[in-house]
Amino acid sequence: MNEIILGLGDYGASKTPGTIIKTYALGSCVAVMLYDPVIQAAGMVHVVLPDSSIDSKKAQQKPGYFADTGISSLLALMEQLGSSGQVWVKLAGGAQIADPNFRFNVGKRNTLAVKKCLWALRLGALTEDLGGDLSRTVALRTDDGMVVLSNPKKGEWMI
Amino acid sequence: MNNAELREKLKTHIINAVSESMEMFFVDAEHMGEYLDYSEGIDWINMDALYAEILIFFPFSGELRLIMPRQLVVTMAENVYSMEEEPSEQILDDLIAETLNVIAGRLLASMLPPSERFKFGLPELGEDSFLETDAFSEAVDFDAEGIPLWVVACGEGFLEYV
Repeated sequence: MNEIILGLGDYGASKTPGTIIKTYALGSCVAVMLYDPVIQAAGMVHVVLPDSSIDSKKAQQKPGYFADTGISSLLALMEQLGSSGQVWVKLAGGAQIADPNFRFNVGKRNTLAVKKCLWALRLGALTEDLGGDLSRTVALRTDDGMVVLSNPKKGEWMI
Repeated sequence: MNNAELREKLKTHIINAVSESMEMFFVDAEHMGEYLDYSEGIDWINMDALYAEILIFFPFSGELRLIMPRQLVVTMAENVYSMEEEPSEQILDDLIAETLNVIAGRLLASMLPPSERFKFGLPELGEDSFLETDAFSEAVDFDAEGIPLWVVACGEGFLEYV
């Protein structure tokens, strides 16, 4: 089994059978996951902040860091793998962990920014596990596009 | 429940209704706590705002107002329609009217019992549509990603039914 581990602002994709693309302990960050069932390719980007306009230099160095540049970069990578363009989208993360008063709710802003970018690309999430106050570790399988989420307190579940 | 507690309860319903409604337009609207008070007497209109109002007919008489800077409505239009050019006045008018329509529906649905029916009118636009009234009003301010907006609930019925 191959495992691709993504850190903050990383993105990656694969169509190698048996591969798992994984990112650990998403808090307010959002994992945008794409799956092309035609070529069995999966891709994920670990979005940290909503909008690249706040730091264009950072966006160039690490496009996955921001929702807008991250999603377009991931789609480009999927295209390089030969994606048919018929992709499923799954979303996870966007929690509100650091600030219980919901001021400067980065998780919600990340979620809305991701959905806005997808909407502009005529894409929408097939399924999502967003919000709340729990961190999520996310693993996406190339074989079937299923996503396994886990949290130390909640255990494991799938979307 | 005393008057202050009823007002606080109404405010919570308004905050939730606005926050959820603005998500439709991919905008995060948070109540920031009187950081910019709404007052009909102040010349805050300089900010080039758009106004919408909707009348509530049943189960109580009331009025809900929405005031948004044009810049925010333009952002919402760009988000929803993925527009690159400046949206037309008609689009902006439709958008603020629909936003208020959704807010009113969510607010009444959340503050009234599930079995209670409600009826409200069509949104009207323009500052002139606001009724002059001495009735109770609760104004709630929001920060929509750095831009303020206000929702004002007018009429004693809001406190009676909340």
